[in-house]
Amino acid sequence: MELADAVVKDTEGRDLRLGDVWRDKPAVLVFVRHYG
Amino acid sequence: MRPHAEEFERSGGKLAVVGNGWPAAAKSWAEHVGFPPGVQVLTDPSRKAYDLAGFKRSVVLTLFNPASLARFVRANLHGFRQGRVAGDPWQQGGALVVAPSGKVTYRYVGFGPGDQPSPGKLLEALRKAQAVGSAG
Repeated sequence: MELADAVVKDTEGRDLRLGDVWRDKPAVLVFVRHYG
Repeated sequence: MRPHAEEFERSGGKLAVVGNGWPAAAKSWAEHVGFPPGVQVLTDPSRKAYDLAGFKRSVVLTLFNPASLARFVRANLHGFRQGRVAGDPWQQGGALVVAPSGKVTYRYVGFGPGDQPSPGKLLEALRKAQAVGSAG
């Protein structure tokens, strides 16, 4: 599986294909260890 | 990261913050931090994206890491306090910059708590990704 095809969720619990994040413009993705 | 959040959009890109707790925890945290509307807060409870990005998961890196202990002390001296953990406590973080073509132009693998690239480094990487995009 490619990173772009990984499915994550938004804050409302809706599925989002990760590749959609950078589809229109370059994106910085910061992966945090956890919330808090 | 929050004080610099608008700079990514002003630079022609966008910022997404990905965690690994449940969506409700992500929502509560995003509201607490107060990210501007352009920032996408996402969550990856399965940690599949973390794995595909090559980010580490380690008890040792979390608990027995002198560099992280130093960052923890420094952060506390500056008034930052960690709240209750929501997500996988052993998962390490990292950062990516990805061009619209899907090319990962920058990758930073965190090796313990507090190990993240500076906002300046990420902005520089974002500008390089824009150059990749305009060249393609």
